[in-house]
Amino acid sequence: MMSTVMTAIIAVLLIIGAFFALIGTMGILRMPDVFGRMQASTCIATLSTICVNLAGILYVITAGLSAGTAVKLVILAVFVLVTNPISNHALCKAAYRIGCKPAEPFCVDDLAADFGEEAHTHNTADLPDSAFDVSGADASQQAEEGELQ
Amino acid sequence: MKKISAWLSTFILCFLFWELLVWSANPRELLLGALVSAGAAALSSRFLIHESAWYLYNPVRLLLLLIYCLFVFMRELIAANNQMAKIVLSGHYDRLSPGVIRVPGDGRIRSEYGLAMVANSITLTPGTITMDVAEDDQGNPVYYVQWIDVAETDRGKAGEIIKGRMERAIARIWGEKPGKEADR
Repeated sequence: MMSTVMTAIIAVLLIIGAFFALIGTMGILRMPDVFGRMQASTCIATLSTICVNLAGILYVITAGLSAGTAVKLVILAVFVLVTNPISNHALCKAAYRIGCKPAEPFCVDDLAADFGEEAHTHNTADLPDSAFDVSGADASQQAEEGELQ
Repeated sequence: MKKISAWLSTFILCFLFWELLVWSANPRELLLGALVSAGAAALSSRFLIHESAWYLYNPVRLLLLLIYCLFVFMRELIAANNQMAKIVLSGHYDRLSPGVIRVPGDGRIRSEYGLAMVANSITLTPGTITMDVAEDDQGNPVYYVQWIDVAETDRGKAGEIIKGRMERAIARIWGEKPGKEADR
């Protein structure tokens, strides 16, 4: 009886985790600009990871495995949660500084208002400027072609 | 003296992590862990410890940190994830109004641990990413946050929506009395 209940709880947690991973992936594929994609990808690293790891911990407890395995799962979740925001922040700031344009213009942009010219950098990679400009006409055409039906 | 205490506190942290990962009290594992931790601490203590070495080892602080992670932060995380799921599934991305907004921070949080924790908590909730942390004229922290759907352009109210509950909980952990200089 007990193990049936635990199996059901584990299954529900796995489904929640998989659902939010799906949301994050859909967001990455369908969002129109860099910033939106990065925001959507956070779902995978947070609630999805936590739920799947929690399911793993409950399984370890029910199956009577060593406590060390459960501790490893906790550490795994902690490491993902600690490292993800750092890379996310660095990517977002780099995208902003090299001048990636959002699909809709920002309704407020305090970073540009406060720092002026210094908010953006001229040191970009060896790519033509058009590679960074996603708000142009051809970009919206690409978005229509690439959209999921 | 300061270097030795910084080394010792990093060593304890490394050794605890080693023990959690290995999960055995075998003397050989303990000795190997001590050697590896000593080496790692010697190389990395100057990156980890900038202020007082024993700042982290405070039982009240660690308990509040655990409560924050398990309850306050989880609640915000679940709410933000649900909102993100609604945005992604609705498919009307052209109705979003993204923006970079300057959000005033709590003046009680001055230490590096506290600032990093507020900034990372904002980044971890889907929908907001911290882009920069700066100081205003009075030395209070200011966060520049990229927000996928700006619901409030008033800076103070926006800050309350983005990080109000989390910041109050973090101020209870790392906060200090206003006006007092941070122990750098």
